[in-house]
Amino acid sequence: MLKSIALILILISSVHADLVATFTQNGLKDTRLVRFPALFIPAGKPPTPFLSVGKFDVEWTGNIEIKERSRLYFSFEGKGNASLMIDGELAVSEEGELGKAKSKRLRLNPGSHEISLKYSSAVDGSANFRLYWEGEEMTRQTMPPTVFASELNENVTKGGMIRRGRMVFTEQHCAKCHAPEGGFGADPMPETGEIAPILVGIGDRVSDEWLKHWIANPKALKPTTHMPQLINPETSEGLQQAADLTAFLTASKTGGKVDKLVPDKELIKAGGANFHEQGCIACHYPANEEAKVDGTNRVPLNNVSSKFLPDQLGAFLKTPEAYHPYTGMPNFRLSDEEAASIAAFLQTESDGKETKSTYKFPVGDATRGAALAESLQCGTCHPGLPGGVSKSVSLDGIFKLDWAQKGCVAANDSRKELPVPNLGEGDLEALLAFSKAGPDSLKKQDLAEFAERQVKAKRCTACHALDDEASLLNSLHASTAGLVAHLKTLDERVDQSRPQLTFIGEMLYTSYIESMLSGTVEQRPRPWLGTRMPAFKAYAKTLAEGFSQLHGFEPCAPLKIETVPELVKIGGSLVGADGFGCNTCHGNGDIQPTAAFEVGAVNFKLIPERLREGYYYRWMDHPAAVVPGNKMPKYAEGNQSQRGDILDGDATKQYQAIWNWLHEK
Amino acid sequence: MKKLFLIFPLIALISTPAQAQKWFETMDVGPAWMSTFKDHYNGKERVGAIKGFSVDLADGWRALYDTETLRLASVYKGGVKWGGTPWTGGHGTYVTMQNQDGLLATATGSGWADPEGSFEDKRPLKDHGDMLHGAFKGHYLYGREVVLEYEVNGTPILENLTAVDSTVTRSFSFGARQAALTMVVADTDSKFTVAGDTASAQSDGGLKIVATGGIKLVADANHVGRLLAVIPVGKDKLLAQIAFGKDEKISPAAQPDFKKLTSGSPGIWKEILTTQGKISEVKDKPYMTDLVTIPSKNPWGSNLRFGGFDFIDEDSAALSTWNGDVWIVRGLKGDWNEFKWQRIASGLFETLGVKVVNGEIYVNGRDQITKLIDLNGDGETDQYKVFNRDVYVSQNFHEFAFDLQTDKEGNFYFSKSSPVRPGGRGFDEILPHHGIIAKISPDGKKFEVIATGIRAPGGLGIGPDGQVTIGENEGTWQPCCKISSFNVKNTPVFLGTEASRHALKDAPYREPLVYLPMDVDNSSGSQVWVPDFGKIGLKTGDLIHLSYGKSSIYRVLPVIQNGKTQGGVVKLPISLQSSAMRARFHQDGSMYVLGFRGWQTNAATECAFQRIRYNEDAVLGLLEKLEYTDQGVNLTFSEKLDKELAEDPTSYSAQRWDYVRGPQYGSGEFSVDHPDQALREKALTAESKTHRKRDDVKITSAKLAADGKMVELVLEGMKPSMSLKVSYDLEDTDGEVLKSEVHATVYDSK
Repeated sequence: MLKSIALILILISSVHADLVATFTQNGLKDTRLVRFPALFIPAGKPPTPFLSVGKFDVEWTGNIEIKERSRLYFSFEGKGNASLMIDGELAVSEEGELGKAKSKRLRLNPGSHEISLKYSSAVDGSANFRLYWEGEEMTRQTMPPTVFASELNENVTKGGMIRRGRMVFTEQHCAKCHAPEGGFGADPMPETGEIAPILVGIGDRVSDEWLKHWIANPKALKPTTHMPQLINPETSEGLQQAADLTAFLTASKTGGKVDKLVPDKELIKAGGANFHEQGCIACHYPANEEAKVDGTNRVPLNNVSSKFLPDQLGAFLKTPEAYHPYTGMPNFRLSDEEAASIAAFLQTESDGKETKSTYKFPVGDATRGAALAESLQCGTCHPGLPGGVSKSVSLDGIFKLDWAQKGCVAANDSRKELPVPNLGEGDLEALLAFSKAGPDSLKKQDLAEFAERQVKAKRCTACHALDDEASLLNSLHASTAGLVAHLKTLDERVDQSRPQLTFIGEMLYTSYIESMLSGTVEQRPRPWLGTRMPAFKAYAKTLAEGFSQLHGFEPCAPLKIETVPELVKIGGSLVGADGFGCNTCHGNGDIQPTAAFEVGAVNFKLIPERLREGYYYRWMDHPAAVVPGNKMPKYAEGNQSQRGDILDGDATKQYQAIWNWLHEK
Repeated sequence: MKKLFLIFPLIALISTPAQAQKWFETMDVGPAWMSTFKDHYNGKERVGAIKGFSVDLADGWRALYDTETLRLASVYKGGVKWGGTPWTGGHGTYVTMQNQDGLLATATGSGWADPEGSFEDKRPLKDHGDMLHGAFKGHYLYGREVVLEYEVNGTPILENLTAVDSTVTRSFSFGARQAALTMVVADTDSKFTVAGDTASAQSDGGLKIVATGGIKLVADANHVGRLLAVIPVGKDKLLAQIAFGKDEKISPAAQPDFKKLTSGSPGIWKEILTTQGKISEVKDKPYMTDLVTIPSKNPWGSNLRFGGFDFIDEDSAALSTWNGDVWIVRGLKGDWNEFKWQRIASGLFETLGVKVVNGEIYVNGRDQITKLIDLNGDGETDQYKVFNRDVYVSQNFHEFAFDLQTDKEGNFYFSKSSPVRPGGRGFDEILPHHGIIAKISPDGKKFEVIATGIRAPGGLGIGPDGQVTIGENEGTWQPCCKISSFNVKNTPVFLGTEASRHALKDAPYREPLVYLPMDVDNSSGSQVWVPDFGKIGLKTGDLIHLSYGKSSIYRVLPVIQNGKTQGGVVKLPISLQSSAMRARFHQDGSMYVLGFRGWQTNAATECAFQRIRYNEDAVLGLLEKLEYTDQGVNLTFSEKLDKELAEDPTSYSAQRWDYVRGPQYGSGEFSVDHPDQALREKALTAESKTHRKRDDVKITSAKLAADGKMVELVLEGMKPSMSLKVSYDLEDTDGEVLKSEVHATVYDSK
């Protein structure tokens, strides 16, 4: 506890690469950190889960950090009332349809510049806002997350704690037992709909031995699990309960005992290579090692051999969501061969490496197990199991209690059958903070915040860079490179950097994000990458919408672009060998790039279904400023194109021509 | 049936649909074509010749020589499958002879027996380099007739090939022969039967050979299916022929007149093309860019991506293309209303460097430096004479030979890339001349390695006092682009790529003058020194660096302190129409800049040849001098500065960072102020490019010196760093904005 308080104190006094957003509505305030100021709130939705539907105000405060003296203009996009103060002076303000007003040229010297940005929604609470800047050397674009900084204060820390508590509450499935009396309503926090794994037929998938150990002490096998401990394995009664539950869960087992397969050596080798290629190490420890306390919170694989029955791991790898739609393990669209090979590799690697225990389980009894499942209310989390109707205190009821004193997370509760949630450091404090906020926020949809939560929950940054932070895989991937040492041709591939998430909602149409997340994209945009974007099907639509809203865009499918024949023609010549030679690296449909080297580039054919126009100009203006180190060339100094002879040398006009060409059917 | 199978794919490959022909399919490469070619032997694709020489025999017939083994590798009627970076853009692909059903082919190896009568490969480096007992000397053109010149066991030989109907004739002119010479005629998969007179032979497969001039045909006792020819001893010149074909009757073509064929050609590309120059009308900027318009559309479909040039005189220059052409442009001295362009040579091997010495044109290709000789004064090259071909090359696509420069003594220099693999990472097998700077004596006889450890720098520079400078490209063992500088007196040096370290086993890594971050240079071109007649707003002896990738030109500001070569670069406000690969000063003081687009660059057009003029009426506002102090840096500008801005620390900003040089591709940017050793070590085992931690360096104070031009900047914690970027945003005393940045490397500031 002391440590947590110390941590919070450090947070309060430290500078954060974020802005403080204070939402105000009818005298209520809700404060949180945001990476950048942007909003899209549809009518009928609340601005934050802690406020209500209706008109609201928001003020973003903090600093913008300028590295070199810059001469800049500021402006907005969206709808509503907005004003921006920089260093205490009004830079720009606008009402109604935003985007016409622009600040005068401001000269900002290197260093921190205090900003206060105010925005008021429409009367019905709908909101749409983005903040832009531009300069002589930079086209108009949203201010990137990396320029903002702010100091934490008590309110923002509190806002953060409550939010984290809310996330922990849903992750731990608290509201399954403590269910709301009238349900969560039409537009709840999306995670309230999550269910734990479906255990029907579990006996045909996993070994009895593993299941007993799992029930006895889940976190011993998976330190980050959200499965609470429900029995006490330190007592003989507890061991009996684990055995009974296992007997019950596996009673309907159809198959007999199957001998372990002895996988083929080549298959194991191929599996190791696939394990490396898909970057599995970003979310898992090596299969022959137990979990470590290293801050990466990865899932250990040392128990897969003892867990999965023969043939079952491959099936799991192919469709991890089959029995657990909300699993963190995504679907890599593995072929049968790939799945079989990874399974062979993991089973071989983890064989004999399972977490050792001293538990001696007695023979279980399925009937007793069924009764126990009923009393433990297993069915509230695991659909189909007994105990699906909770007898616990209702949701509203628990929010009237002091969680520090009573209930599942209270330290001193003399509980007998209460589950012991597996909380991480700081989770308890967050839950206690959330307990003071009341349950209403669980009934409110908050897609932008949802997207931010899911980036963490689904470990998106394990593989993707975000803002200035490189992905975890970048630092871990070399550790499995030995698995592909035999594949010499891998060295001949182009740059293997994965795309960043920094501008995701601004960059891609919602429909495209959704199809990437659902795994339904027909043509991989970056087919040169060894790693493959896996599907997170359950949330594909919600998360895609969340990303769009997070960046202040209305979720949408590709907009129809009206092309101008004259510009199409110019664009086409700019793209070809007579122009910038874009076709050197970019393919166009079936036409291959002429000489892609060191880097790959997205096929032009995919652009119309992918890119939002604003991002396209930001990208064309200075690719390496968008993705640091990117090798796509910059074709203009300021707005002066290298090609002075076309469209007056106006780079923006030239990019517009290319945009036209890209959208010409 | 079998035959059908063979023919079908051949037709599919060589026949091109009438629509959408690629430029390389229609380009007239000329009668002789040097490159690395693949061909087919015994049904398998092979590297037919690394230093290959393909002869267009007309009527669809083609012959491939290997100029290292002096062997006729294959003869066939048919086309080629296109490949190769300068042609299709492909990496690791080749122009491949479609000779699956060819008339004649020989096995890989020596084409001539050595004085001991052996065909064994006795070269110091097996499969590479000229044979010890013979050497290629070049070739002559007479119209579209080709005469190869080479020497075997001391005997000078001229050879001309012709195809008439279906008979191909090799006609030779042999010089004096102290001993008999033995050559490989053909290798087949069936046995040869030689006629009693030894002047004709036939294989079981139906290949008929006829020899004249006393040449004796011999079925090789050691190799079934191999036919040899023995050229008798003789003091006198011998004219002889070997003809082959599959027709019923084979008779050699008429004996060519070698004297005529080697005395000057009537010319192939007689048309002189004209273009009009584009003179810049910019008045208010310090540099004006005039365009020497290139005849991109020409009757021969030649792709004019010029990658090397030199002035012949003040009115004309010679330019070489990546696809092996050499052109001369005339009219540089005049009003630029009409340039006259002449194609004078073709078929050279990826020629990316030209040097004119005493009016003679030397061109650097991957296989050799060739001297172009016009024997009859019509401008076109009649004799392609080998100047030096000691360089070892492999079939790797990326081992470019860049640039061609000379020093005061007349030595030639060029750089040779390491064989980067198709994806850009790591290297193929390293040969002794991969990743080096070569120095060749003025007579072309001595080939010396003066630097090793190069990856793929696009060019180099030779200074007036023996300075050698060279750029570099980010990649394996090269954290980023850079400019290295050393004196030829202190060579050889090792420049960092461990894979091509070669003999310099214990040599320390020669740190560059400056490391250049990716946004400054991502692919370098040449360097050039400002001569005393240069009028470019810089001083005599100043060094200029060209960035191919950024199409930019930089002034190099060396900081010589305690014997350490270090310094920085500042960008010159010059805009270019294509990349910046080569630059040379014209006698009128202007600087000509040449560049094309062949690999990654932001070049706006495929190729541009430009004249850069300095406008004395505009304010250059350039950083003139860079110095390091123990407190920070001193910046001296060309103009007197506005004092208020100059002494305002917020007019400046600075960052420093390090790179990690290692076996990974490129490098991230690493904090100098808070070094993370573990992270740096990790960068040796995994690519670190996404790690970007630059330290912001506080400007503690800025003081303008009495001369009004020098600013003394105090930087918090001045210390060595591989990169130090100092940006400034100032005004001169007339209010002109001076806004730019200097990118420097600091080894020693005390």
